[in-house]
Amino acid sequence: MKIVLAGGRRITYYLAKTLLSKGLNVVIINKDKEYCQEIAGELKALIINGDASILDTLSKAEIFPNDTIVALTPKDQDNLIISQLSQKVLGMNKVFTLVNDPENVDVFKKLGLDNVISMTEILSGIIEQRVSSHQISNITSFEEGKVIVLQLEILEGSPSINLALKDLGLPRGAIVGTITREDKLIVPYGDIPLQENDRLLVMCLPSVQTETIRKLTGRE
Amino acid sequence: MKKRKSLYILIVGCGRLGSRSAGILSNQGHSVVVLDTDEKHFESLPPEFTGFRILGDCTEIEILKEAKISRADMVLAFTDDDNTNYMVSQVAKEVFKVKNVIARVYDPANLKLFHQFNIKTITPMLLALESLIGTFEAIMEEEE
Repeated sequence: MKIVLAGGRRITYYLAKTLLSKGLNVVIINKDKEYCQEIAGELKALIINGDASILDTLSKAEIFPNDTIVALTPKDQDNLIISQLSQKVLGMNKVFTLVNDPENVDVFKKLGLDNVISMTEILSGIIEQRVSSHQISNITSFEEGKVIVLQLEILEGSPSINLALKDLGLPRGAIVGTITREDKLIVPYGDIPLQENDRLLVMCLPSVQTETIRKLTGRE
Repeated sequence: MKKRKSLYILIVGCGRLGSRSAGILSNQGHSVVVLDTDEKHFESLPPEFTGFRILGDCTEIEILKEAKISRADMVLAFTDDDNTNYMVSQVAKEVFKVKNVIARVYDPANLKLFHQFNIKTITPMLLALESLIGTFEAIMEEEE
């Protein structure tokens, strides 16, 4: 099984390096001949000089349906055609598409692509979380935003310290899945009291997210 | 003769083909909007053109919305890049449900993909070939 990286420069180089170090088989396709020569000496990957948005070039990579392709060029339109050629013509089922314009995430999904990634969206998501509250370290939504999983830390002075989970008054639709306490993982019952520095993994509905965070951390 | 209805036509890419089409269609009484990333390209629009010009990148959905693409009866994807034309036509067809989409495609190898999405295509090389064969046939007939 191989992973084909189409286009892109630095990100492709480091991605290839990481994947190769995990023992994966990597193929790099790039239009720029100089770039290809440059990385050929440094990476143990098959390097193809050519335009990945042309079927002939993709065919040179001898791709099978179970292989993976990642479209990493700086142009959304190029990534679209690379992904669709891979999916529709070559029948690949693991196709990853990078987009620059975050609005294209939805657009490309409508055009039948499943794994559309926007660096801007990922970065802004992380920044927003860190800026809004350092107690909450990770928020991810599942099932198209119908459920949220968040990771938070009980800091000194939190109103929930020494209270049992069942006495916190957590809203319906919120559940504490795990507590990490001094590197030990606890799957809690309702009568377990929270302690300072506990790290919680909480699952909740978006409608009760704010209330849940307030009950646990005391913050709005 | 039956009077034809006036269409709202969005032309993406205002090069030689885009600007001339804009003039002709405008002259026929259609409302035409042209979209291009380069302001200089608008200079080639003929005097018959009476529509609007929008400066922007057609691969940004915002810009397409600004050009009121969802109201367009027809979109002509005439930039000089096949991949850009491919994206614009597909977005027009699948996301904004534009009925008629015509794209210029330089590389015949890409035609299949366009046709999969019911996008009509114009390939200059194939047109030139057709014309060459026609001229060639005519010459051969004269020779005989």
